[in-house]
Amino acid sequence: MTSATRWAGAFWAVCLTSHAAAQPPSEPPSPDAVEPPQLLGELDPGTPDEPVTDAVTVTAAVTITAEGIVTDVAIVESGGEELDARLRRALEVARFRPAMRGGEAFAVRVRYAYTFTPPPPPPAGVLVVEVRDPMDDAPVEGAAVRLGGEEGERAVTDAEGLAAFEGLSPGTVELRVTRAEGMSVESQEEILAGEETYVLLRVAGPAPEPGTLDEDDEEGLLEFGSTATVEAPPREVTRRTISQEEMLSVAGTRGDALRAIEVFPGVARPAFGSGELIIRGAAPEDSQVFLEGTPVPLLYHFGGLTSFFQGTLLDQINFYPGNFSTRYGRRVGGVVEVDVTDARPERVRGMVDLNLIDVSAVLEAPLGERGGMAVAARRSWLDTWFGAALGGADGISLTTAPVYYDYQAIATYRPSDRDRLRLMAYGSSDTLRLLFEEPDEEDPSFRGGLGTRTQFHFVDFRWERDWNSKLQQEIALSSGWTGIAFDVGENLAFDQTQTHVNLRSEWRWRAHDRLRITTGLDSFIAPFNIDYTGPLPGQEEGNPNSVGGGITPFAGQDDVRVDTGDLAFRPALYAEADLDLDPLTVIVGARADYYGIVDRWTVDPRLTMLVDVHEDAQLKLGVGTFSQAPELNQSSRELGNPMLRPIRALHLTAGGQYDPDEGIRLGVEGFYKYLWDRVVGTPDGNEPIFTNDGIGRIYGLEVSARIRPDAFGGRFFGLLSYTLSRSERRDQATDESRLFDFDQTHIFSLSGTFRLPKNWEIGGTMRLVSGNPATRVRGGVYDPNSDTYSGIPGLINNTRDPLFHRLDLRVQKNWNFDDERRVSVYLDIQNVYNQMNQEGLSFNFDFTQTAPVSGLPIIPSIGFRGEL
Amino acid sequence: MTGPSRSGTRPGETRLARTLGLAAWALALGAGCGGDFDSPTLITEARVLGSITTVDGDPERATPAPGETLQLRWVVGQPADEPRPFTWTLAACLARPSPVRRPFCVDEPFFAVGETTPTTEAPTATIPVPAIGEQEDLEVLLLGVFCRDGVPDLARVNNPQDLDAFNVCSEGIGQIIGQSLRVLSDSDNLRPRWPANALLLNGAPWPGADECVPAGTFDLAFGGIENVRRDEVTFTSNDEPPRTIVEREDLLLSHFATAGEMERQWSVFDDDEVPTPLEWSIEARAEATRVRFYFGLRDQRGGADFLERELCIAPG
Repeated sequence: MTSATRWAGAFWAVCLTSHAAAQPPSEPPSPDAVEPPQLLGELDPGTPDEPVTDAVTVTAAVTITAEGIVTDVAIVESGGEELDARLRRALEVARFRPAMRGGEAFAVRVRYAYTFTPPPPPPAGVLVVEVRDPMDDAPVEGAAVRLGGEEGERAVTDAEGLAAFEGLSPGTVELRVTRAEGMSVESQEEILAGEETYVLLRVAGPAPEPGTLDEDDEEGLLEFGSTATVEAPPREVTRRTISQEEMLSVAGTRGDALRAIEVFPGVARPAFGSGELIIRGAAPEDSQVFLEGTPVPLLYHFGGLTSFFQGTLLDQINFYPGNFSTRYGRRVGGVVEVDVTDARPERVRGMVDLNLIDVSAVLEAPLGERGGMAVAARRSWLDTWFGAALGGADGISLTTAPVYYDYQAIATYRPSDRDRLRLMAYGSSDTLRLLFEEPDEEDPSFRGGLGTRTQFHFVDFRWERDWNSKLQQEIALSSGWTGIAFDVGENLAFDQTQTHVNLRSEWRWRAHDRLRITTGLDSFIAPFNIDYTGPLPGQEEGNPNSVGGGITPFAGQDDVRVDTGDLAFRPALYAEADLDLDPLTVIVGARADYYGIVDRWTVDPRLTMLVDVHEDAQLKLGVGTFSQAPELNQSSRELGNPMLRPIRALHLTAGGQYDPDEGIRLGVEGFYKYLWDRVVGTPDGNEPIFTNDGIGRIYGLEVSARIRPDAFGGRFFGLLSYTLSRSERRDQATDESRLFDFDQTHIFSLSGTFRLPKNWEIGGTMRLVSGNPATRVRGGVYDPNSDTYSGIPGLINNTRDPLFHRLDLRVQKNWNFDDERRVSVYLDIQNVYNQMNQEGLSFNFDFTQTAPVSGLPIIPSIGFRGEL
Repeated sequence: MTGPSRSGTRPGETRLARTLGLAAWALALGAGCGGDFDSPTLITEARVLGSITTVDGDPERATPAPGETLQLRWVVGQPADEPRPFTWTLAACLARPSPVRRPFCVDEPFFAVGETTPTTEAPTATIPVPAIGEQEDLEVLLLGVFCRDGVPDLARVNNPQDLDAFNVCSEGIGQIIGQSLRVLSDSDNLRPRWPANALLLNGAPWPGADECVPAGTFDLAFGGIENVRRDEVTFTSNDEPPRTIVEREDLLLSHFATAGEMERQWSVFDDDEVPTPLEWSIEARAEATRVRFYFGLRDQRGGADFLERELCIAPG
């Protein structure tokens, strides 16, 4: 039965003998008592083509046979041709329990009445209008707000400049705001069913006395109009944004927000167990995740299991696979910017999530009328069962089960309408230790165990201020500590500690209606210490013989022991101008970076052009250079070469996007990247150990189709993306080009979520990805000193693993008690059809035999979430 | 999983991610997701199991000084029933020490020897080490090919682009051997030597060759190894001024057998712990089975010593 036609009730008018109906119910039925026929199931006459405006009752006389079948339907009280026909058809297919007398069924003729009721009105919308003065951005009290013409509903703004209208029918409304001084502004706003629409209008007041304002203020006075949001215009050629609603629903992520990035175009599948982010063919360390502008040292717990930040506290994720704004630097790959939600709940609320992997909780509360706070924590409980599950593994025992935790605390306060303060603390910790009961069967130094310990703890303070309607300033200071330690067997131990101080101060100035200028200081200061024991690290990418590269044992290699420290001082200045030459927008900027340790400056000019060729279509072009410091060990005096130069890259992107309907976006982009001054190892691994002799190029095409939750009333949303690309490297001038370790020619992702009736949700993610490049091994060389074999690599990356494909599904059932309180149970299944994707090869001891190694099998995860 | 395996992919770029990848690989391989190969401890065909180098006039020393003569012998493991013939070749060249474990000769080999007629005699060589100056930071690289079938082609080994275990012998798959030896004028890298009566079988002295024992699982214990470890490993610290650190060497014990199943391939004697007795098991057969064991003791810097034993397993 649809919501448009709910039957208010049906009743039996049973024309039976009166004595039967007059039997008192409390007495036992006499043998001759008559039991009337009963409808089995529900009667469904469907929805009238023309919904009724008032309740209409239609009555039919029907014969119900001893078998419960309806015959001889006659309308005795008509409701009109269509309603009569609908009831007739519904009764003719209905089944009844026949009338009974003395235990015997018998045929009766009865009357059946059915009432068609009008569909319920759609849920009303709410419109909140905020009126501010454009000159000083102060709220305007006493302004008259009128909806829909002279006879429309009216309200007056309060001391905070707010006026609200409730119970509004969905649709477009005319809005007029008139200040007490007489100045007015009109606009059209869309009212959505069941939602609150917020509109900020800036209405100028009376002109001040001449000579009392400076030039900027006078320009501001001329400015008025309607502004639904204050989001800055895009400054990048490619910005892919995913909302909280979407990121929590992607199948295969267990509701983890940040892992939703993996379905974006241009994002390659990471190596098995590494959890790295590979964007548009760039090395993982060439890309960076920022949390509100502050670089984050680690995105995921344990190689991609779960991200480090509670998803419900994230507002959105912006993904820039290339040609990003001058706001971001020190990376030549891509950038992910994670925005944290503004914790300003209207009441105390909380959430608990429990699944097989971890348990987490979130608590949010208001702080007076101008602030709010949120705290969250998560801890894995793998340690309670993982060791037992590992019990069958050959020769491995778990001494410290994988344990991770993370926490976040956010406090937001608005001391005035111009200021916003936020204090945030967050941190993460991962610990794991495997104990090998015996030396590894390929490498005698691979004994004792394998351990990792990663921790970071940050405090972030941010102040945003609107100095006036034209000038905004944002200052962010974050400081924290990062510790990364791992050891592999007896011969490799690494312990790096770093104290970070990140300072970002950005000014945004609207110099003219068509010109916006952004300048900023972005400073990164990090004293660090590295304590390393192991073989001298060399080039890793494109080098199967590297330390831990899989075919060269640690045994038999000379160890180095280094305990060193230095200061990574990396200040940067950037500036950017957005020029609106309707329909063309030009964003031109430059960024100057200084890299301590290697003592080098870089200047990166960048240009972006956006052309609105149609109101729903845009063409885009971007070109710019990017730079990045060598890794700390590469530029270390003891482990590398302090004379290295920064890595450089040229990005070129061209494409377009088309919005065929609201919430639907189609996009296509081509990209080209050229890398030079790449840091590579010397051929024999000897001094200077690293040089800038490497170059590379990456090119490809991305096609995407996206449906946002607002496209179909939230019933379906999803993303289809396909990337065709090639990523090549050349390590020495005399070398041939080779494929990058994670070059994936084809990356296809299809992810979607359906919202079904009765609060069911079902979603799926399908991925088809080219296998990673692989290097054939042509036997081994036996080292009598260590009794081990080293593999002999063939041409680097000249073959591939087979195609990777996997389907993940997610089913969720919600029980909504009201708008705020909800309980959910979900089942998230990774690798539904248990595809044994090949992740690499294993070799016998002398590298004369190979066998494929499979990745993860089917992994179901069931969880519970409660929101109060 | 009965045999060893190793991963052939690169777990990632950053060291942390790579370690996490290694952990995942370790778990995947440990859980039986890798290949199922024969154990390297099982000798089913002729194979070089190690190399014993000594200096002429000083048989206790494993690495030479410039201008000295080196004596080399490859220890060849053979199936118990009948020794298999093989051919071999060996060349010595000067090489630059490199963290990249690939043979890189800096010049043409200064010495070459070999046997192209099938033989069962252990390969030996007497190698004159050039009088190189220590400031040249060179080492001796011993490159060899061991062929179970056909004859070796050392020229391929000398060309890194052509190095391939599948083409170094005229037939079949060859074994390529690459051993580096430091050449130091004050070299005092003494060979580790097996202590007397070091081997114990189920806690008792090794039985005589004619004394058959019933099949089953045996504990192999190695006594007295701790006493032959020496303070020989030196490091230069990066302190100001740098200082030399001398540490006790780790000894690596390899064990092979021509039948049965070894619990592990190596036992390591280091500062942390003494390895537990090694389990070796064999199933009974219809006839008495003669099993040959090879035990190699190495300091992992060129010094090595080997023991061979036989054991008779009574018919079941």
